[in-house]
Amino acid sequence: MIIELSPCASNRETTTVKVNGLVVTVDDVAYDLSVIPEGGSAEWEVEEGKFPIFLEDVTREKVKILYFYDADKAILNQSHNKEDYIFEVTEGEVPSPIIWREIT
Amino acid sequence: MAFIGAVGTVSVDGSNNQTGDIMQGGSNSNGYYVKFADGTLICHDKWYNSYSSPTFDSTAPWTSYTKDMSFAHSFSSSTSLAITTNAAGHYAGAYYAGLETRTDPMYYNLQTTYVKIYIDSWNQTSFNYFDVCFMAIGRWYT
Repeated sequence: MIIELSPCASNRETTTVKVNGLVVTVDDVAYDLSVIPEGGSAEWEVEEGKFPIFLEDVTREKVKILYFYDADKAILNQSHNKEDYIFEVTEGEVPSPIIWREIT
Repeated sequence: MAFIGAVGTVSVDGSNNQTGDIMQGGSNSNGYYVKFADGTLICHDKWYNSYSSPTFDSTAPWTSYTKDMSFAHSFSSSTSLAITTNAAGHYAGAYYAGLETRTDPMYYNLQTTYVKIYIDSWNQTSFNYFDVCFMAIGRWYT
């Protein structure tokens, strides 16, 4: 599955994303994409006053996820290359695209 | 006594007392941000639509297209956002960009991680290339 992370600096905890087949787990909440028909797509309905989880159309093959990162622990200027935020993962944790500050 | 820098890392404690510097700028693939110790946050970005040809909903005499543009930094969930947009196209005709707030502005103002922008063009049946900019001002803590 292709996972695109949409980076958003924040004072929240950094988002965690895991993949297990068609199940995507975001911050310990599992979303089963097998409910989407093959070849079809779904749109994430944003609840009023809540942050979206998925952005743009969701398919079985590709999802775009809102990715919070702790701005206090990261370098200020991150990559502007969208390719650096795209991963192909079939099982396991999606790596963080964020460049973190060195702890001194 | 601690010295406070003008530019660096902004932070506040649980009571919103300033514990870091006065202002902080940063960026990522969703654009740029500047945040201040008093809670003010400014995000801006531009989108060059020069790599793909979006499909427009044709409604004579204008064509429209909408796009979600994410902020480089999240706003506080209870902030009100002031957002400005502009657009320029590569075909003759008038272009206009605004917020997709024509039906329920408050609903979209509550989305503090992205803004839905629409682009209109008069007297064009199609337009494939245009640039869009936005700037959003709000608060990163309340």
